[in-house]
Amino acid sequence: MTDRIRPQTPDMADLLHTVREFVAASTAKLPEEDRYQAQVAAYLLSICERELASAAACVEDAGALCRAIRAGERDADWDALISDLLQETAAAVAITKPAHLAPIHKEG
Amino acid sequence: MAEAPPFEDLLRAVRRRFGAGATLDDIVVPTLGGSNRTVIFDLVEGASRRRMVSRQETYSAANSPFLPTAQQFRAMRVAFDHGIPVPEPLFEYDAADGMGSGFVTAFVSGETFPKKIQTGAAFETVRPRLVGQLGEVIARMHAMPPEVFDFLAAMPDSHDPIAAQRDRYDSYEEPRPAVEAGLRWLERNRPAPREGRALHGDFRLGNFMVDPEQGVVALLDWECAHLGSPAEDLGWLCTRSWRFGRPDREAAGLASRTELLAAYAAAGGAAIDADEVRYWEVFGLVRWAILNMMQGHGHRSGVRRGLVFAACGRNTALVEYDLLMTLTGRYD
Repeated sequence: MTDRIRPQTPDMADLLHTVREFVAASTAKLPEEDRYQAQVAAYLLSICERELASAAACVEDAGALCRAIRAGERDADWDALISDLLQETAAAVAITKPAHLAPIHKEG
Repeated sequence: MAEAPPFEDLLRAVRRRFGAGATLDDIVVPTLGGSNRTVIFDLVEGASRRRMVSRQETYSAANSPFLPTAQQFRAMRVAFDHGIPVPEPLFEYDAADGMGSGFVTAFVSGETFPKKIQTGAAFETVRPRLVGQLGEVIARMHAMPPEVFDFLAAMPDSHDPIAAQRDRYDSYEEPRPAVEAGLRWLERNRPAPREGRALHGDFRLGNFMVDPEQGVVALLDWECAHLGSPAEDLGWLCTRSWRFGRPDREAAGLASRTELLAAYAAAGGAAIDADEVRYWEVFGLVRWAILNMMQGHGHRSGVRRGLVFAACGRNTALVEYDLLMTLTGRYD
């Protein structure tokens, strides 16, 4: 076996999309008590699709930043800190639930 | 047809208290129970019947922010005895019932679903009155002698609500800079302390029952009762996440913050200014973010897996976004 393969089709984005479409189309046929769970399932799949399409790189320094904030080391540049966190959080929300963003953070 | 769930335990518990002639009828199990098993039923004794609600705890996390059911029951009893609208607490389960911990209250009919209360045609007439009723109900709650909640004095939230949130956040072992910044802001901007009052602790749209004619008929969900600043209850009611479809109306998406404070003061509540309520709204966003982390943690750790809990974990970012938009002054 090799660790190199050619791109397989349909790709992951397509598979996720296909499953989500199925879940969404099936929701209305489910007993009422299962519909909410199905809606959440479709929501989670849509998050996966957006995350896959996102170019945002993951930062791994959350622990260090949290310690600095707690120790008061960011009090002096507080506004810049909050502004940075807002940009980062808006990018996370764009993946999780873009409709939640205020107009200033919506694309287009 | 699904097989009927077993209610023999409930029937036995009811007969221990109401006699062997008591029977159950019209049993309904609501589906969105969360960490509780909820059963609604008629208790029939001869020609009389009374609708009741049974709540059993099915899950209790090690570092749960929620009160044990015995304390919830006691808080409801105290409130009921002081004339606060609350479903009448009837009895608690004990070891002989073999049903774990839980209790039975009277059933109160009405609507809790936020969207229906905010926009439903059936509530059009009563809707303008709701803010006045909410201000009055919570003012009466806060007017109870605080000693009635002495049994909740050991709750971390009664001692220092910010430290209580921080301890829970730390226990989920997921460093999140936005939450950390929220906690830091709360520590640096604490309002002058107020005399502790009996707080409902989860006073928000969705946790009170609204009747289309009478308006607010019951305060539900007493899992977070504690002692603290009355502004904390008002701030939770105004927290952006609980405005649902109407973020422009601060008080539960029903009215302005100013209208709520006026109703609260008119009913004998303390004079509280809007900025103090805003502080507790920031607290509310931090608290709600941490509650979402708790659900996500339960999922990731395998203690309680599920679609909804996974979604809550992800939704933490939405609450953080509202928090940061508020801290930058873009949201009010």
